[in-house]
Amino acid sequence: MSTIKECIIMVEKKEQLDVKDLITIGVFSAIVVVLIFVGGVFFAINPVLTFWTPVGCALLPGPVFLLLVAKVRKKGVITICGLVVGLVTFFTGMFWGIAVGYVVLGAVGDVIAKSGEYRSFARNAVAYILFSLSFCTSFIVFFMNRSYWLSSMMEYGVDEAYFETMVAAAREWILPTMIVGTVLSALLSALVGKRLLHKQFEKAGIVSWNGAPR
Amino acid sequence: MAVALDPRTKIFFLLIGNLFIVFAPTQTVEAGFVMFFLLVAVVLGPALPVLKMVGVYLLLLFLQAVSAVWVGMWWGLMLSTFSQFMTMVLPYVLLAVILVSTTKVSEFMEALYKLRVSKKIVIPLAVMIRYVPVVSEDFTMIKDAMRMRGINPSFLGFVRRPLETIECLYVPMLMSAAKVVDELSAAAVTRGIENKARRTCVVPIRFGAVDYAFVIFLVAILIVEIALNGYFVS
Repeated sequence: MSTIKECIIMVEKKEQLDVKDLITIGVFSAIVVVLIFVGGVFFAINPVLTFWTPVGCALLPGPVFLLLVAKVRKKGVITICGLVVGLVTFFTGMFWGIAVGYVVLGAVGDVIAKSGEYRSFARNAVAYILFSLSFCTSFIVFFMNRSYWLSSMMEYGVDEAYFETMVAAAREWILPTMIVGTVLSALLSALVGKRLLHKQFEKAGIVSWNGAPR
Repeated sequence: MAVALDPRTKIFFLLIGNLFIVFAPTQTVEAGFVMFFLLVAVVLGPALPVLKMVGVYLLLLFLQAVSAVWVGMWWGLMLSTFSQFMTMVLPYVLLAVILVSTTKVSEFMEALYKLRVSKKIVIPLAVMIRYVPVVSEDFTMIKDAMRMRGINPSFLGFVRRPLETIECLYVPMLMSAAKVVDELSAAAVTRGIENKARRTCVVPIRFGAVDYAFVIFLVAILIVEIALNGYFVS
């Protein structure tokens, strides 16, 4: 009797994140953070290109994100990843909206990916796209309430010459274009990730995944 | 002359330091706070990375002042916006670096557990903080290896053979990450991270007189700063 009970406990435990999963999330989140910064920094420092920062940020981490999901595949992976990445963006002086975006959109993405048991490429890709869109929140606030955004960024110590160029570059069409661009760039990144996963990591035995839902 | 502060005090310092910079009315005040952070880092212990960063910060401030003259030209604008962006972000990064470079991972984890943060956040966070420098180290090594195999790791190479370049960058990086995960979790499990019992720490972690004094001092600075803010904004 007791052995059956132990078995049930073990099966239930499998559904929860264990220490190895948590360490996996930590290591892969580190890579995601580095890639987000590498992709975004060239855009962020330029007032004309600053609106394309989310597009750059979305371009690189896709394969890492998909591999993380494929390795862990348990409820809460994306939420925790979003939380950790959000904390980093908050403490490196980004606009607070970005951190909130990572936490909220990460949790939403988690629900979507969970509905495909973390095995459906389409749903994982949607989760990644949502995750990438977090970086747009800063600019959505900018377009919704320009004066609030400006005054809040002034408090961060940004100079006026930067803003003048930036506001001049901010046409009405830029927000939808930016969001569409981010979605496309995240999708491209996810497709590259899918290819890499199939071609390399399955062969090496890092993940066992045939793409199809169970 | 290293003063041992409670890690919780350091986390509080990180948070309130962020507020210092957010509320700084002028760049001069901000630079003053950066110097204050440097002082704290020197008192806390190994300050070399912080010292280097402050050097870069001063250089950027100088660059910003110089490039303001050529702001009419496109490259002057690029230079000026670049230095502005960097001087804007650097103080926050500096605070994070102070926390990470003066706190051992075990102490940091202990402090977060004492603040009743869930294990599910503490472990990934602690692992991530330690792994970020390794990623950039790996990256330079991978680039060297690519050059040895005759693959151009720069942007030009990417344009010429996009898929090959991507594979050569991601595959080694992710393979080594997967290996690190296995090793780290084996090490962590061996050291009893899965133990249900309460975690202990060799270094006693408690709030001492120095901690209370420092926290009160920081809060006082913030209050004075906010109170004086009106005088600066004309």
